[in-house]
Amino acid sequence: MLKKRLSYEKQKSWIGFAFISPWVIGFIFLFARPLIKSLVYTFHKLQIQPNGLILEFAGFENYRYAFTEDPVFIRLLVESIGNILYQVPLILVFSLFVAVILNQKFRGRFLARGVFFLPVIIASGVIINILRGDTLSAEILSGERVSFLFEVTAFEQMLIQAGLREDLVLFFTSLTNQIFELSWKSGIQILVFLAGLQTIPGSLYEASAMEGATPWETFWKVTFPMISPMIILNLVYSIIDNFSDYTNQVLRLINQHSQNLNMAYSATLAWIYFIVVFVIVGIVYAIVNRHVFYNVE
Amino acid sequence: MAELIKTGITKLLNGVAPNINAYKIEKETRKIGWSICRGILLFCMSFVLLYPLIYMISVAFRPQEQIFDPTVIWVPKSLTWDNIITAYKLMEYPAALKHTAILGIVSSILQVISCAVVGYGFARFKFKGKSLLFAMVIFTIIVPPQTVIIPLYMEYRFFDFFGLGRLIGLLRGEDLTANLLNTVWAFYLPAIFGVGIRSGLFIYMFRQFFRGMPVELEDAAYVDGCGPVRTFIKVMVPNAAPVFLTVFLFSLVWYWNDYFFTSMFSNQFTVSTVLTSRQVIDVGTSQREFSIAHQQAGCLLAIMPVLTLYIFLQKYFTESIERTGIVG
Repeated sequence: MLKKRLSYEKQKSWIGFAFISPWVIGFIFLFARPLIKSLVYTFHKLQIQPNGLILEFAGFENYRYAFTEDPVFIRLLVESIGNILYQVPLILVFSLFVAVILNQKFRGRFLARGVFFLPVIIASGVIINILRGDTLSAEILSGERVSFLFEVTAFEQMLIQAGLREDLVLFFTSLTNQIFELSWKSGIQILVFLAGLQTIPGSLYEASAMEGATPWETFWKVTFPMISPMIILNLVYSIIDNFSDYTNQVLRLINQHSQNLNMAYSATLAWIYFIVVFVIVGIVYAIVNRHVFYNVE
Repeated sequence: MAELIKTGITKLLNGVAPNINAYKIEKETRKIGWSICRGILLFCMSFVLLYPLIYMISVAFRPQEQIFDPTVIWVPKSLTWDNIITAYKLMEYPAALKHTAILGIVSSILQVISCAVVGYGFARFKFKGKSLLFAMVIFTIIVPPQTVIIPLYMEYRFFDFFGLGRLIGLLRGEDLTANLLNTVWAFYLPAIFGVGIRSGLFIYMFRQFFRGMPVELEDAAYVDGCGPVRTFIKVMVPNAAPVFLTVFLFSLVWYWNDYFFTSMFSNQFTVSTVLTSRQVIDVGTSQREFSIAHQQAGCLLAIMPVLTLYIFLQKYFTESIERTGIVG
């Protein structure tokens, strides 16, 4: 009896492996092998010939160039890290806030959800880029502001004249200017939070209401800990999403180099960039993960 | 304002039930106040999100001379189909649409199937090195595609059938390779083998979903004489309809909007790549301002099919979140 059971387990493990085997093949040949090749490229100079690539060993030349001579790379890299440091927390707060609202029961909530997931559908790099570039060029051409996202310049002037500190005003107006961008980047995050909120058992809320907790307390004592695994998921996702965004300047630089057939150098930049992303994600994950409350499965 | 509402409600409630206590009134007031705030907030944010769409529609149907007319903000003085027609011609819309649709739909169906199978494998079976392999799945999500794009290009240019071509090469003296560039296989192949656009994320989603399904279902199927494969097809798949729908929608949208891979591996234009590479902007006219309307019209044409699909599926999509809490 025991023997038969064991053999079934073994059989099952083989079947399990069969289930994931398509991915294993794909991973090895269409992901791992190209990844290793591109790492090899970074130590070479590449020449493209009709029948393939010719590699010429160059040691750390590509890396040296990237760090010491390239006029823009380091600046763009630092800029995009800086962007992430303040954008990701904002995205998280915004999307959690929206998800909590959308999770409440009110009329038209399905419609509202439909609208909020819209960015997931049309936030493709090309289209959003054309839209952004478009409003900008329209402004330049016509010499005055065309129907704009958030017309805060007049308001800005007003606040400054009212005697508020200029840097403070500029900080807040730059925040409001980014509402558009933030809300467009938050589609998936809202979705993830909403799905997480749905899984919190109602009994917890009932119990806290019985104990006389205010909504504010309920949020911090019940919702927040229960949703914390989703927060870390969203945190990692937002960082990666921000780094792999079509509008990201570093990626544009990398694409530009590869279009100019600077293959080896493009691969080098991509690798440096990837390692930076990896380290940042790792650090953030390590710090935040300690405070996450995992419900025992 | 709040005071006014409060007294109003007090009067109202006193009319209905004079003995109602102050606590309840307070609570009601808060509730109404909050729902008003929520309404305003949601309305404002919806506007921000719908803004590009409204802008697109507004400009696309506007006659050229009204684009920089400061008196026209949202609603044009007259409507025209000219921009749409011009964009339609410049984009060679029917051909681009057909290509995009075939590529997107086939790839995403293949991707959904392969990711479901792999996700189930990770969710329900125990085998050696499982956690390491799953870490690799997460790894594929993190690595930016730019890192592997060039070697991948070479891989498709001299595709050796997963090493089999080389093996044959050892026997014949000449490697057997095929050029997959500019064919649909450069998209179908990664989709089949679970490394298509954002496949890692989808595998993760399927795994989370299947892990949440009760084990009893499978045990019952096993007792009734189903093998693992039949259990998967007959028991798990029918129950996973919402997650299949969600993943399919995501996958289709990402293939539809993809710019990076399509411009790299294919010489045929899709509706996304045609927008930038054919320069809808400057063909036909040298004046920049003419372009804006054409470009907006082009964008509208490009997203129209997915947008329509989304409007129809939206109900199932948002409701499925309510019912299952699938994503993540």
